Amino acid sequence: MTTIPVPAEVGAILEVEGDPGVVRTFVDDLLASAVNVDDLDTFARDSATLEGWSGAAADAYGRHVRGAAADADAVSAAVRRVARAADEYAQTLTTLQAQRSTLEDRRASYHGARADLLADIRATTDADAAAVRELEDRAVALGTQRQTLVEDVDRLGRAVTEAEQLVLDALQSFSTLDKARAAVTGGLDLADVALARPGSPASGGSPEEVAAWWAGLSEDEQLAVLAAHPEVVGSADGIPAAVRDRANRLLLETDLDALELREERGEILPADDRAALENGRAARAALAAGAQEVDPLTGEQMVPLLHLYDARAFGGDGRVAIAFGDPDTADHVSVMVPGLTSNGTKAEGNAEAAFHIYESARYSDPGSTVASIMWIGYDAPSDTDSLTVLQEGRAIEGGERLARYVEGLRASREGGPAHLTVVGHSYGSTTTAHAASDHGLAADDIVLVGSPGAGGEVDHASDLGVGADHVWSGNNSHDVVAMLADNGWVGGGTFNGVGMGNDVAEDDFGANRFQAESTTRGTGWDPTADHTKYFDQDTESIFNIGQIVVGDYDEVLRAEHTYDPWWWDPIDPERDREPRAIEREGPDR
Amino acid sequence: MSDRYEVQPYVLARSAQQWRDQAARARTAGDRLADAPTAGFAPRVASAASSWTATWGRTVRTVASGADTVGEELLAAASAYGTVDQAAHDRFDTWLDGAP
Repeated sequence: MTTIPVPAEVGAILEVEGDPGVVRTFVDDLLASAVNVDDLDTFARDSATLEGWSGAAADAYGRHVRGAAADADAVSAAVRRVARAADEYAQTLTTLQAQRSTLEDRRASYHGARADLLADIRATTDADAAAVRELEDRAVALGTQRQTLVEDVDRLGRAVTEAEQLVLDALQSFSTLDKARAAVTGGLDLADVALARPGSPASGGSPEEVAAWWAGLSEDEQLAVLAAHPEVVGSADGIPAAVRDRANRLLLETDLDALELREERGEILPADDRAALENGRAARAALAAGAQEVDPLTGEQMVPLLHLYDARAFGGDGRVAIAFGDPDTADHVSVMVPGLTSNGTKAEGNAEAAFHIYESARYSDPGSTVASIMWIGYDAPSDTDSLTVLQEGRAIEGGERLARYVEGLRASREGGPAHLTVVGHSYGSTTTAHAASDHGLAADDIVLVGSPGAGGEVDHASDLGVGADHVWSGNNSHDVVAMLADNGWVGGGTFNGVGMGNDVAEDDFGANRFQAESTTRGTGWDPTADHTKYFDQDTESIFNIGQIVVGDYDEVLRAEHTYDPWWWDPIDPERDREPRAIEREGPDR
Repeated sequence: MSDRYEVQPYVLARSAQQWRDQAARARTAGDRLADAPTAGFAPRVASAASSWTATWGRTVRTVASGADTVGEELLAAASAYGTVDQAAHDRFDTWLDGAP
């Protein structure tokens, strides 16, 4: 009788307890707290001396306040260090839980093979030598498999203990204010040191330099800058989208907390604070509404990114950008630039438009990934300054900002460049054209919809620098704003600085015109209604924009250009065409 | 007391208000810190994290109270300057009332 030693079973694998998502919430709460305490530190330092107050009492006040600032600095440092440790723990926990899952699969596979071997051994009654050798070989192989598995399980256990210990060490190192004071005494502020390096946003680095600067920081430094200066990180072109989102959400949350607290206690907020509060609330509402959307093909919940947030910019008009999809990794990226009336309070409607572009592009090319951004990053004519819409000044200034923003999107990419489309609507189309003609906008395609013109200096689509065949015009025939453009053979571009230049839908301009008529055109009481339908679902316009965004040019529904015979007014052939609704199909529709 | 001093009471009052605003924000930070969820950690870390957040929540609230106190003391200082000024004024009035 031959005995074949079969290796033992492998015991249960320890659970990797914890929830990385909840730990990340812990981290975000700590960072938001650190932002507030850091603000107190900065405020206390800045107000240690007060202009208009001097003498013995003022000196005593100054000494006390400097001490308070130092304490706030120590608190902030302690909270940031623990947040950093917890952040790392969350990442490690995710990895370790995935490893455990793999080990469970390997254990099940091992037990399956072991059971098979035992069954084969039991079934064997009068085996020859070769059959016995085969069973022995399988037993040896199983033994090796078991040995490796057991070692990996042990390694997992040690890694879990180590990850937990690192957090415990951080908690212990900063368990009291005295320990935190000792840790920061005489030390340089990590955030200040990092910002002083060449290439930082504070040093005026270009988006490429900012991207390199950020990548060159240690994780400790990154977190320090994030907590101490979220306003710098959130607005810095060239920094990864996920990081900007985190910084801007911290800003949003702490801004709203502070302003709503003052409102709750009955304070009448000054105009700039009131405007900041309204902009913040609008951004919060836009993010909440965006998070209700789902990817039309996968059904997955969208996670909108707050890519830009400055509630007090432009005298209270604010700056905000929200992205659907990840601009750093998506195959196709679009930036929608809105026009007249766009300020921070219009975040939700514009974010919805960006989502419709996302949705359309996903339908157009289900095999690729897409990111769609709405960008209110310039001082568009709005509210009391709406009449500046008649001149190009804000478009010229906004064009420079837009070009830099797009350069930042290019610089923060992981891997190869995206196919990038900038979609300018209304006055935003003039801004987009200025970014292209004045600053070499780094886009592959330019889409101008509801456009009153591409600027007085742009006579032809080829002036926009991406090639006339990559310039797309979507003016519809009932859009009264598009009609403000300069038409025809007697046109003068602009007149005394008023007007936005040539009609981009006209044959002479040389852009590709696509169908953008609405089935509801010319209806209702609002004469400007057809100016605001370009991003509506199921329209010709949003269908075509989606095709352009994914570079599927052959599928774009072309429209005949407007033309201007010398004997008559400009003629738009689209007026005679019957518009259609274009419904897309997918699991979500 | 120093030989020379200068005071513009509205500067103190304005700064007092700013300190109160900072105190309110710090108090919010303290509450947020104290309430930060620790259930995502493994049990042996979670209990340590809970006691850490409780401690630092209190510390930050103390810092916030300190900021509030600065605001109150600035207002008290402004009031004290006003009292001294009034006393000097009264003294001159008394003297001038008796003057021929």
